[in-house]
Amino acid sequence: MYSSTILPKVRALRIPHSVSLELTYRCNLDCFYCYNDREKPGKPLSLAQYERLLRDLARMQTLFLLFTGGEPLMHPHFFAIGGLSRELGFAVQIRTNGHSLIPSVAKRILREIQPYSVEVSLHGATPEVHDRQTRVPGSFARLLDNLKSAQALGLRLGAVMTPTAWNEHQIEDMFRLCDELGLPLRVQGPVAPRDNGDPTPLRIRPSDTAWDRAVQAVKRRQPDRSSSKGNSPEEPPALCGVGVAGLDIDPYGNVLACMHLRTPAGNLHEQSIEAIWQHSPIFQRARQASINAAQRFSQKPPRQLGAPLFCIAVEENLAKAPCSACAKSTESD
Amino acid sequence: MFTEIIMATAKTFSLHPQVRYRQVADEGVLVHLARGQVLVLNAVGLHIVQTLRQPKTREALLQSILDRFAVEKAQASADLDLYLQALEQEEVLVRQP
Repeated sequence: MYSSTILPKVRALRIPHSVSLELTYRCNLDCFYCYNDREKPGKPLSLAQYERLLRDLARMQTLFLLFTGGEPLMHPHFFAIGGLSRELGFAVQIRTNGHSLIPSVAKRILREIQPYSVEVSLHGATPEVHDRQTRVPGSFARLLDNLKSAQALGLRLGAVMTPTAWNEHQIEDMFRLCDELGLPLRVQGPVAPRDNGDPTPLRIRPSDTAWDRAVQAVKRRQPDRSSSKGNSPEEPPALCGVGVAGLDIDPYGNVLACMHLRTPAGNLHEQSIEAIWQHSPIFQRARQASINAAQRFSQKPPRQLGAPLFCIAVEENLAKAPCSACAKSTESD
Repeated sequence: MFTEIIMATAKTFSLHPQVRYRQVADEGVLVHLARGQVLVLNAVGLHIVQTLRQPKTREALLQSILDRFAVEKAQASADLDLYLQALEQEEVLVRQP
């Protein structure tokens, strides 16, 4: 019902239904394939600016609000922003590496923010693999401790993994680990150039069969899962809801059509979110790119960097980083 | 009969504190944080949820529906009881004594 009735209306009316806030690019881990451009300059939004933004988004009928980063828990006003989000009626989702999710923090999140979900990043099924990717010894053991205590407290948890050359031999083990913990495991990716075009992450691009195994593992656990995006007959097929159903805001107030499409539609230091959402042509361009991509893959399934998907932002970042490692990234895989 | 007894004992209704919702055109989408569910509300359901931002008696809810929708009182009353029962089963609203 939600996909078939609500989402088409969201897109038709251009309601920013889902908004992601990249609160900070700071992080307490150092993941090898992190896509963030940590050197990106800018003036962080103040707490007062976040307060105005949240009130504007509530008025614009935004429902889902994702806190991400970097590591969102490292933002100095994380709880103030989260608490106001709860008061204003958002369904808050938190994407964290889990390193700071110690019991006292988990309790505070539950009490002050009441999130809809907390999703943690899992990089392997053993300390050797997980810690190799995070480049922080002990991060795996700490993550498991934090997950168990947060779950006992009643947080709704999930995990997300990205197949890489370093963890692809543990894909099944990661699913089994999450099964034991009672956590849904989502697969994301592909490993791609960083948002500034740096192709370093491609050094740990997994084999193409890794993705096939990951997809099979998901299907075994969710055999009825639909991949439908709820496109109605009245709207052109698109690969995602970019430009018409949501947006992203980086730590410096840049408003983006999606967190990986880095051309800003405007900046909150200069304009309100409503003005940017209503008037910037960036959203329409992103939407058109998503429609064009859907047409490219109308006859054959997409494939990008080995993954059974296609992301227009990944394609854009690949174009910024022409190199032999990514030359055969799309369609020809 | 059973529904009437339940409704008669309820003083006021209010939204469950774990519920979040927004309007999308003439419908609503509601997220239940504790149950992890996303529900779609039709126009009447959305109106009830919006009205229950402040606790309301059944009679006040019925009057707000009559003010908003072109419907006979007897029909509205019967439908409201069904709605309230369904929403209570989904833990979207709670009764307060």
